[in-house]
Amino acid sequence: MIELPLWLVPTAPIVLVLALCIPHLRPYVRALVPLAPLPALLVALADPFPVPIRIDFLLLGTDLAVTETAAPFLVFTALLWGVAGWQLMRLLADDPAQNRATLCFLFAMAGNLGLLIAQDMAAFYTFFAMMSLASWGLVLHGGGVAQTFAGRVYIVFAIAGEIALFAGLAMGAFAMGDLRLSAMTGDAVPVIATVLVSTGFLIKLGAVPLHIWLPLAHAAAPAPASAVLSGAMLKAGLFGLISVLPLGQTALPEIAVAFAAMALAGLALAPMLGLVQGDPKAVLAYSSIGQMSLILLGLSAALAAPEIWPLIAPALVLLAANHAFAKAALFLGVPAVWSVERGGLRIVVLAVLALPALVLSGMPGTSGWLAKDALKAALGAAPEGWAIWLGAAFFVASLGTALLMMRALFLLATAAYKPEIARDVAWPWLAMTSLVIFGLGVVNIAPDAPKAFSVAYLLPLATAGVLTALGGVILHYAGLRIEPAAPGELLGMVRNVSQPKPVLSPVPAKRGHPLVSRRPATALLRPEHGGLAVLSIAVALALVMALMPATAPVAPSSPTAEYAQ
Amino acid sequence: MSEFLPIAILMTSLGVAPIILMMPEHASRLRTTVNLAAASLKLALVVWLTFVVVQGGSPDLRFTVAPGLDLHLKADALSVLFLALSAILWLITTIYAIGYLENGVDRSRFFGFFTLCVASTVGIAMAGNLFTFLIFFELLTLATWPLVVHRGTAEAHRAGRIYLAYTLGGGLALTFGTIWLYALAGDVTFTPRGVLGDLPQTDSIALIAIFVLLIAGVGVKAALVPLHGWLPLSMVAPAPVSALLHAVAVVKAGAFGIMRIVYDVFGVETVQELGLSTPLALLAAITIIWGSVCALRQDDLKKRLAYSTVSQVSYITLGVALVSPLAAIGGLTHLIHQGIMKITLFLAAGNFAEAQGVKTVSAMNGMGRLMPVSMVAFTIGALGMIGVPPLAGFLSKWYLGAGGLQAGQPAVIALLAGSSLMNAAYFLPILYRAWFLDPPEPAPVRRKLGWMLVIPPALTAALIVAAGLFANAPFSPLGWTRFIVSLEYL
Repeated sequence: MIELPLWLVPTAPIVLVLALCIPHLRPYVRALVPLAPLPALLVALADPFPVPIRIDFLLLGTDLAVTETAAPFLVFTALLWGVAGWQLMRLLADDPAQNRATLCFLFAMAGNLGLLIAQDMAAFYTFFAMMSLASWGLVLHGGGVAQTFAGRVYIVFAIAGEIALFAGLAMGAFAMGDLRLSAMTGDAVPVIATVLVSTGFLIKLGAVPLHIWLPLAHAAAPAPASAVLSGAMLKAGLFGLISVLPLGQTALPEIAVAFAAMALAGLALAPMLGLVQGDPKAVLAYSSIGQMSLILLGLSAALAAPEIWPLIAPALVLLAANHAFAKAALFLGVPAVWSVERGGLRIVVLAVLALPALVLSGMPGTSGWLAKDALKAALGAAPEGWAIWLGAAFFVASLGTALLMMRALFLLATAAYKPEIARDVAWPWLAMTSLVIFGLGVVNIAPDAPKAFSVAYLLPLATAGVLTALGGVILHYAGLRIEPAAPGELLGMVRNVSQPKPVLSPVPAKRGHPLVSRRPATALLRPEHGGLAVLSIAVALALVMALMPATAPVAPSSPTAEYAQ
Repeated sequence: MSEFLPIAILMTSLGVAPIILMMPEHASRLRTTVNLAAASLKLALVVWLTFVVVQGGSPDLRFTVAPGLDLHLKADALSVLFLALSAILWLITTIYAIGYLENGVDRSRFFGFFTLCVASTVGIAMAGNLFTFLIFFELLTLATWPLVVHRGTAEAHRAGRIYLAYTLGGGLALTFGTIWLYALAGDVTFTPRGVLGDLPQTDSIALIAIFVLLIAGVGVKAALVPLHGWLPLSMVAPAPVSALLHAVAVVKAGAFGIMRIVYDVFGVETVQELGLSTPLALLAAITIIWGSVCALRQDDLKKRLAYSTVSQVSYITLGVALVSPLAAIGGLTHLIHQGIMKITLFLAAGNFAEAQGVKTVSAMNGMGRLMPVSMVAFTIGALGMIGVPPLAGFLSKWYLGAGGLQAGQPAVIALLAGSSLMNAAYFLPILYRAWFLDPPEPAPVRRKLGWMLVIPPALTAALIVAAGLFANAPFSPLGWTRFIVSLEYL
């Protein structure tokens, strides 16, 4: 294979950005967008990895390298950006602001690919900021009320994350006297620096309660942009956490507890909040929150018990890659569904779309099942106290995902036909769907050997099916209908900014009456989002505190006792 | 030969200013030629001087005015930092000003005082002792006043009066401080690590009083709160004047004065022993926050930028006041970084006002589509101010943060975080309006901009990117400040 220099990875999209400034070149640039991540894919698949390079005059001295950890991330990130770019160019072919969107897309791509190979803090932080800020443009692109609101929430969280990251990195670099990113895992790094840096990444990962921006942004952005936001950029948060936490080296019990609490809150909240959404993309976004919570659970276990990290790491990467492909396929499928009228063809499209949905729900035999099982097996080696509620957590996760998938597919089945969308947006989606099936073969991780099939594996899916059927029957015979919640959760309490109305699926409005009558808009605290969120977080926290293993409650001998002797 | 470089550099502006002032108004081609030739010549000479200083040379010229009172011109590494900034930005601003005032009135007066203004900054940069510094500092005050009131409106005259009241008051404090110090210590030659530390048996109360007088004197120009009131008012001046005022001339002269007083008159150790570094750092911190808070409340674009200057220039003061080499690198390099970022913002803002008549933030809708080049430049400047990497502002913040930790003041990190947050809060809404909202229909075009107005902000924006991206290169602002700081803190 040809030896590609590493600097080409972030430079390829940036060269296209520069070319975009020349009006005559714009059609060619748009045609080349899907190929911009190609260098990244090639360096990630090269064997052996390309030689690390150091560019001394750049920033504070830039180090680029493909590491063992980064390679799988680089593979799925590059594939996702390529396919999503393909669909974005088709979707926005007649959009008057397509150049702006292309520019933001390319900058975000350069940032996302670059941060995976950056070895020093300045370069990493540069790429991370490039990705976060450029995505703002993708979220805002549509220009409607929903986009304005989502953009405002997104940028507040993004800037807060950037600043936390800056403060943490600056402290870590000073404490270690070292500008390499790996220095953040050192013993001398103050805890506050680790907490700050982690906060920056947890915002990107969408960990509850730092997730509020996520469903808004994913629902507001054009579908292919949501695909990379969810499939690739959330994983940048995971990659960041893996890079800066002393995983496998030092136990950080306090941070582990905090992570576990956030993870459990996310697992519980994601389906609850997601099911009341009326926008299929918002539902998919909540499912991402659930999946990322599962990943966070793995990280928290590794922080509590460093010795099991070698088992957990491949499982997390597998889970991340699986989610990346499946969720991207689902998001890319949304415009494909919109482009066909309700009827025969739409059923076919939905049937194909059910494939990644099943993979994501962990249907036995699929890669999603393998990934979840690998994590479950790795967590089996966790300390005593964990085992009790791990089973429950996994069941809730699978059940929640399955329910959300059904909700999303239902909403898509009833979604309005959008004749303005060309049908050829389906091609990138089909390509991504085939990647769901074959893509994990490219990502070089050996999953555990397929296990013997057991009926127990089907339990969450079956439960979800039964619950959905039951719910449908009850709704039908009681004459009730589901009234979607307004986007924004806790922010639904704030009334002085114009907020988007809930997206209503075009079900005839008079088919039933809502279970909870809507309060007037002046009501400050509305139970269907704010209260629910606060309550669930509190419950999850209490749950963790009650169930955490009694680590060291050996009563310390008080100093007064010594004096008494 | 190189011994005469300081006087040659000074003459490229000080000697040219009277010539331009005496030119007839209609001789615009001749005036333009002289202007550009002088600015280019000065840039070339500064490049030469840089190489002389790198090789360890330090051209030094003394003229005795009266016994014990010398006019002393000396070029050291710190001078070169400020000289390079003023030479590059003077050339760019001159090009812009020529385009901006193409059909204006009183252009000979304008360019004459414009040149005199730059001559004063050159003198300030190369002043070898406090007396010379004082002379050029006062010359700067007087040379700037005709530029502030150039438009001749009632508002301009009011701003000019307030400007004079503040700066002449500051000048008085500086003069008293200088006289007192000369009475105590004789001729105060600027020397790395200070000259007062070796002074036997000095009364520390007197030294503290002198320090307060000197800092108050230069602090007016550096717009330290509560001495900043004149700066937001003087934005009534034409755009190139605002740009020069905020990036190179007046404000920077104040910041540079603080550097000279702390580093080369007192010396950081003496300042610390006198217990003056923490109050100065605190004052800088208050200025940083207060400037940002005020900027948030402005709808007038230039006023918002002016308050942003109040805040950002105090980064330099903060870097000087935190007794730590890393903070010093951050502060010194911000002298350059803030200069190129703020000049970009002001030149772009001038273009918005000239071409579209847009002077307020709320009228910025769709500006990205109407004036893409100027708006890209503005965007780069604004992102740099927020501290987004890889732009220049990020490096200043990075080093200031590390310097705060080095000085045992972790609160600096919180200060920088808060400042970045507020910078984002007052710059990002502008970018949002410009790039994501539609322009008003029909778009009113007041004036088609020539290349002389469009190229300068694009050029300075490119400098912002280059200064950040190639920070580790030998002649980047960062590389040069590392060199200076190694002299001060060895």
